[in-house]
Amino acid sequence: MPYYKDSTVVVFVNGAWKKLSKKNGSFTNHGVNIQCLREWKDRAQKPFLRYFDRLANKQDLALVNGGCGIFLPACHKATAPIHLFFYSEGESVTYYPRVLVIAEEKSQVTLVEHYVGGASKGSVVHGVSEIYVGKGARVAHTQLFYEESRTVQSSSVWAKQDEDSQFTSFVLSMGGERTKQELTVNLSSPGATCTLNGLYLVGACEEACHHTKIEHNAPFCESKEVYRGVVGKHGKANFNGKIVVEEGAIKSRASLVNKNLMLCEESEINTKPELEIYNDDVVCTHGATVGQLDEQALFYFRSRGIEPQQAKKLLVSAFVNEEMKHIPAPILPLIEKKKENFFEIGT
Amino acid sequence: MLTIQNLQSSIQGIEILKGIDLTVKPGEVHVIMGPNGSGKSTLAQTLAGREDILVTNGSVQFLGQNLLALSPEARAQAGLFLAFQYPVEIPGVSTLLFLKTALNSLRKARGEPELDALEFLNNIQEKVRQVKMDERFLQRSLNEGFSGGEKKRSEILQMLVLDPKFAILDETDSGLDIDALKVVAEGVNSLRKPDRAILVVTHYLRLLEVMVPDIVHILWDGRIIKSGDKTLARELEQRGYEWLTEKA
Ligand SMILES: Nc1ncnc2c1ncn2[C@@H]1O[C@H](COP(=O)(O)OP(=O)(O)OP(=O)(O)O)[C@@H](O)[C@H]1O
Ligand SMILES: [Mg+2]
Repeated sequence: MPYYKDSTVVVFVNGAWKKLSKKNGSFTNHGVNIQCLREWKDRAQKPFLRYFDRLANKQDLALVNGGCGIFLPACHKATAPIHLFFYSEGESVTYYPRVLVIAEEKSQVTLVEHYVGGASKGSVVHGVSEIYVGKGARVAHTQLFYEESRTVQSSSVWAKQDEDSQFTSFVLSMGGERTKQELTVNLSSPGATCTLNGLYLVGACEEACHHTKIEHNAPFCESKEVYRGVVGKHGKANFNGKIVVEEGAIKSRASLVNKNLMLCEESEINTKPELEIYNDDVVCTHGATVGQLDEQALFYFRSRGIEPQQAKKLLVSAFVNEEMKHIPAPILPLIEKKKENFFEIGT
Repeated sequence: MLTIQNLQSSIQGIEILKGIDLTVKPGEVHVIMGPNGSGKSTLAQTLAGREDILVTNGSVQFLGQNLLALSPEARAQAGLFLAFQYPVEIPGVSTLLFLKTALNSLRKARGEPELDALEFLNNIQEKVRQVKMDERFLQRSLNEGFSGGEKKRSEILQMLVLDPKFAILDETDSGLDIDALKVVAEGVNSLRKPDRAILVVTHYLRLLEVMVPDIVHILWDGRIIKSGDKTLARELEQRGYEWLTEKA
């Protein structure tokens, strides 16, 4: 497990709440309430109840065998990031991690969900994360899928934003037989802004799928989205980015970019930006590219004496670097390792 | 040092070089002039080993090796350098990292220890000053958003850092202001040594005034149709290429 300094850490094994910063049970950190979601639900505690009716995925709660509820009262700014580690143990396990974040008015929090296969084989993980970003609140949400094992994992993230709130999302997916993230952001009140970034490194014979949907339901909201991917030999990537701007959502601004780098002909990349715009008073841009390493650039490197393998690594790094600023520092060495793997088996 | 015999090459099935003969000895500076599209850059890039150029005939000996059998990186490691007419922009790779990787690749090939970041910085500072480049350029992505002149300076800096035995400059003097031209000319002059040779592709006399060439060649439609001393360049300036082709 990469080491995160000063953060509040919760560990889940096969979806079950295991421990929280060496202590068990609920934990209050500078006014942030972090609890096992099941207990939260069973004891019908207040913050949870208040939001229960609004939950988008109520039916899944039946399957929750742990999960995590995070509650930030109004104006509370969590000074330390919260890291949730989801480990798999044993063979062919299936579990449904559930995360519920309630950030009330003007609160702030940084949350990292980290999915690690560990030693398990053939496990299936279906996660659901639901995030309420209250008026003027700020939530930074990161999901890291880092798998060495043959794991199938999917995650649905659903965020609802109130007035003038800010939501940033970063997803990194690398490794795992199949990884899928569905991200829906609902800009429900005026002045809400969201920034969504993603990076997928799809190695040999792996598959990554990213579906995003941004719903502009109110005027004066802004969304920015950039996803980038590198796909190795026989790897497959799907990107589907949808932006819906409702009739009343005037003065909306939305941009969507998806860039893909294919490391060889035997990679498959499907990218589909979709705009559904129901009023005229908006500024929306979108673009998607799929390219291979630039031959001219490669020749330029080689003409300076640089071996082709190293030239390719530098060029892939350059492509990936644009997204690096969103990645927590402890993760960077893992990414380096993944890039190495590309060149051993991926190209 | 470099012996080219009957070199013919084509790009996408179109014959561009139609039989080049050229011998360059150590210490010499050769100039190649010729109209647009005559094949000057193709010659330069055939020598550097661009892979979509197909050599259909001829041979090139470079310092006792069969140059055409070498990969582009092996050519560079053997001491060949090409300053590109249109340097490629590389977003995301800093000039510094590129230079360091290139130099260390050459050192590794020569069996010398690689330089660490600090040693490398010490090594290049003087050269950065020599090309009058702002040190901030080193942190910028290679050539990305560089002006035309800055790109050419960047090529000269690379040449100084990599210290080649044989340098080809493809229109490195085009599009430069007076100061930059001086930088390029001085850079090239500083490379002039008895054991080094330089091949300059140019359309202008300006560079030749500062850096007196030994031989000037005229390339026309894939062939060298005339060679002479520097007065040939002046003659071209006055009379254009017409008189040469009429005779030919
Ligand atoms: N990739 C390519 N595909 C097709 N034709 C090409 C390609 N590259 C070069 N050529 C052709 O080869 C010929 C020689 O080009 P080259 O760039 O060598 O000319 P040059 O002498 O350097 O011209 P300039 O003075 O304009 O730089 C031209 O007719 C050009 O159109
Ligand atoms: Mg040219």
